[in-house]
Amino acid sequence: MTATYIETVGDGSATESKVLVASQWQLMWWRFRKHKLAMAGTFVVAFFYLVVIFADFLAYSDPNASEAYQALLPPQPIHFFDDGVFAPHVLGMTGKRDPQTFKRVYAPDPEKKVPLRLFAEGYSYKFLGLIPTNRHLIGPVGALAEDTIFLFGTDMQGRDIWSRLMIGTRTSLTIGLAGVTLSLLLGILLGGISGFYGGWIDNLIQRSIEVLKSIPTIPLWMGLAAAMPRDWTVVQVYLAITVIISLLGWTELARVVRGRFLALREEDFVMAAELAGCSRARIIARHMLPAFMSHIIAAVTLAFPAMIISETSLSFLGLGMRPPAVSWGVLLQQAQNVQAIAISPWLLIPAIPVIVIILAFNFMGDGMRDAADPYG
Amino acid sequence: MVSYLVRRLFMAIVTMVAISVLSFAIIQLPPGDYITTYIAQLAADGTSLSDAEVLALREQYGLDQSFLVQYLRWIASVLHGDFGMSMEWRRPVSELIGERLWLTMAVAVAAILLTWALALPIGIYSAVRRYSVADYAFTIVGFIGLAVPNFLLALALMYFGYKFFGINIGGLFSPAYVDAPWSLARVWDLIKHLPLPAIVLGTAGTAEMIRVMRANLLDELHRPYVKTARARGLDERRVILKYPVRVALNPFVSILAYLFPYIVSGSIIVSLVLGLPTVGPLLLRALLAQDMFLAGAIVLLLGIMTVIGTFLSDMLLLWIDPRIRLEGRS
Amino acid sequence: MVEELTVKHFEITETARGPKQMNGAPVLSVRDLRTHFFQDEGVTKAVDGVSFDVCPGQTVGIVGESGCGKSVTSLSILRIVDPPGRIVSGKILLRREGGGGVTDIAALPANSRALRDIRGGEIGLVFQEPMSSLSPVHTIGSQLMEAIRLHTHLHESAVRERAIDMLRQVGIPQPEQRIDSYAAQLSGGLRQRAMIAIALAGQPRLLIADEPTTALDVTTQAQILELLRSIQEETGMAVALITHDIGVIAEMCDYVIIMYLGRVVEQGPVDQIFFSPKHPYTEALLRSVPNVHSEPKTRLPALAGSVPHPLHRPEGCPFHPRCARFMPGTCERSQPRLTEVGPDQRASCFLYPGADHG
Repeated sequence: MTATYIETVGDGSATESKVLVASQWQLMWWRFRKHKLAMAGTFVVAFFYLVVIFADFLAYSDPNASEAYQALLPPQPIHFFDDGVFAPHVLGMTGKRDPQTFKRVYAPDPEKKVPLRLFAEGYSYKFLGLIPTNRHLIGPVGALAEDTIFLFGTDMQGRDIWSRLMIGTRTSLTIGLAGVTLSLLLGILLGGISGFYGGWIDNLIQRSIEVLKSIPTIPLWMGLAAAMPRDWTVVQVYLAITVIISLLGWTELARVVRGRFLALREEDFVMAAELAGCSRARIIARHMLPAFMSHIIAAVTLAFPAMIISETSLSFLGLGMRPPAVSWGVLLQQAQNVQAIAISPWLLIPAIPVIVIILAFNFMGDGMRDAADPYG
Repeated sequence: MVSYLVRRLFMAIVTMVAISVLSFAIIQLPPGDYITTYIAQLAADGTSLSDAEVLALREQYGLDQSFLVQYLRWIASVLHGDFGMSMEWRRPVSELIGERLWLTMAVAVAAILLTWALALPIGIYSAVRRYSVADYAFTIVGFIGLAVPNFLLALALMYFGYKFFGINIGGLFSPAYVDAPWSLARVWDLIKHLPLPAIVLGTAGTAEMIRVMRANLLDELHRPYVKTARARGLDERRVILKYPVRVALNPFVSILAYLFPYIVSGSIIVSLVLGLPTVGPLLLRALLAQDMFLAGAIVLLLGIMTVIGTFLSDMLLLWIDPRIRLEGRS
Repeated sequence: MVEELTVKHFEITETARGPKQMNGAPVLSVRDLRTHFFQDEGVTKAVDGVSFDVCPGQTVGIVGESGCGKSVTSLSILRIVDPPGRIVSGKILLRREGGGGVTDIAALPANSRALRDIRGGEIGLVFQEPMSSLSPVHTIGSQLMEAIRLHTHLHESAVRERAIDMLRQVGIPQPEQRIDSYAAQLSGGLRQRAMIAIALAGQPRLLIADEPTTALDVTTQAQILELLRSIQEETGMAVALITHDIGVIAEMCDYVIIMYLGRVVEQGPVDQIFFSPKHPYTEALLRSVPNVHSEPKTRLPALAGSVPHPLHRPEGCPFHPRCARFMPGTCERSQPRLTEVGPDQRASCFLYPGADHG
């Protein structure tokens, strides 16, 4: 498609001369914009990272506060009108024992209305990690103990799934980000060395990647994760998991970096820079890096899903993040048992953001890969 | 061809050595060692050992030696078929793993066969009928297949099976055959139970392979050699199947090599959710109980299985692509 | 992308090649052929109203710069243009042997038996790039034998014999061994010989050679051309030779068709085209090629500008922006028609009366 931009510039019409002077990044943006799914994916990713930033604000109850008598409550939908008057509220739940099965069954009780408001008071936290506050996006109007809301229901320990989901999103997506960053560093370093120097170093690194890729990773990472001492703090576990999952992702990034390096090494402009007497560092930083930045960004985006799946899977198995830490995988641990899901399907709600964000990253990465080479 | 074979074989051996070192590292990683655990167990039973006895035990197991020496001892006994004792089960590791390893293999192979059986025709169809309704449908299904982690897919399938059919899908055998000795009837029962785990395990790989096949075939469809095949009067269907599909098969097969470790990996988690009697649940349990000889042996055996699978798909590539066979000859 | 017209020394003398005897009615008559490519950016009219005849035993050269539609013309004749390209109108008339009537190839159903019998059986095709035109994963023999099986009724045991025979005929040494070679194992010249053998396997009455020598070195080029000529002499088949090399035309052809941006700008017997070109484009094209009579150490006149992008075809005569004899007010208004400008010679230019009729 862009090929025609380049070829038609000779005619000198207004739009075409715009193409002629456009920077590489502008061309990429124009091309990326055309990719509808990629744009949608980008918005979704941006939305999720907003949730990461405002997780505490979006939650309304302490993610670890548990009330045994409120276990496995179903989600409470928000009712916006009360007798035709705008008065958002949820209906409280009344538990009855089914006379036949003796199971506790919850039903909304029209008499027990819990009014809602914006910027309600709740548990204390630091907004953006800086400003101490206890205001949350929504919450029950009063601060009465029995006025509780559970928009997505509660888990087996009676904890609010909505609030836990917000905090879990923060954990899972920051682990993803940190893991990708780490594997990017590894990938650029090893891929760059491999591609720039070539020869036996290249050979060694490439063969190592081949070996790494032919090892079944999950049992290996499971082994590493299981070796984490039980008494480690949440932060230590968090860092360890990040390292473990990034050890999984760097090979693909290294492959992309090396491939680009090899391709660029043959380019005339690199040769020209060499003839002009540029130092190696300068050639890499000023001439080669900008030329393959776009490819790296695309590869990084496509590396996210694997990171997120790894964290979720490890935590799901009980080998990753552990309570009291909350992550998507930890939340899904509650859904390990089919009978539990059959009775309380809302336990599977945390699966939805996992699938949505992976799709979004895939679409976004696909669009970026297509746009990465605006002159191609 | 010979150089390719030698190189592949060499890589396979290097990979196996790397896997064995990593497996042993996993055994060694947790704080303490076999003897500490053993002492703790004895203490729990009410016996205690003198320092001299402990020292003697350490010497006996070579625990006072360096990592390398210990590793070599371990590998030597593994080569004799002795994987050590499981601390938790108090039984030889090889006895525990036995059948489970073969069942793991059966599940992985079933998933790979399914991946092939689906990805090949769908990939070809999607490329030849690009932008058709079916192509879009497959693309969407493929994307979802990629996006749903397979343990979630397993959960969802089990949930629907339970909710709408009232059945508990899962396992690899009907109750009557779980502990039965091997017979044709039991094999048939196994085959009947394989499709579900194969679907769960194969979905992501199938989605990926469809994308690979479609992209490769789209690259090939407009090459001059396809035009020449048409120009000599060959039927359109045979033109496509004999030429571009054949060429696009090469990258497809070479990716198969990486699919194998991926599927073996996935089978661990899926087995847990679906309750399959593979090595997966055993590994998890061993890891959680820090039963490290058992865990290390499972990681090692899975790795070796993968290397063999990868090597076989390399051989398939050799058979399929004359360019590799000709390497170094012309 | 920009492929220069090959600059090569050549000399035309009065004795070079007289027009060959026309043996009866044309094998192939293309009439007002239009093949357009429908892309998101617009419609590219790659071939836009091309007409010509090829008679038995005749060698017709089709010349033009790259992008003028000569290759698309050859693909259209066999109906193997890939989408988004499509023949939108026109006739491709194939005269059958022994009074078998005339078939309009453009009207045959896609992938029909009749069409497939014509491909390879009546019309053979040789491409520019022998390496990419042969399958990288099949032997030469398997592709050649496939063509033989499709168009002859030989017994399976005889097919291989025939294939080896054909490889020998096109001058491949040790055909018994070469038959099991892959394209990558052969030199460029041998590959092209193998391609020619495959194209000839069905004993076609017309061979279309689309730049058969472009990818080869100069000595091999001469050998391949010689091979084509000797095969033509033996079999009496017609040849349509597509090239951008004026030298090849002078050496090989009886009749020349000059194309520019999907249209025929001039056509005529080779001598007339070389000694009295009528269209300004033909003149410019010939001037840009050196010959032994030209003044040494002078700069060769080059064609001004380059071929416009097909999506931005100039109005009127497509050549007018580059034309040395541009007539404002006429040339950019409407398209000139092909008109008689000499014996059996036609040009489409407003310099000649008749071009603006209709």
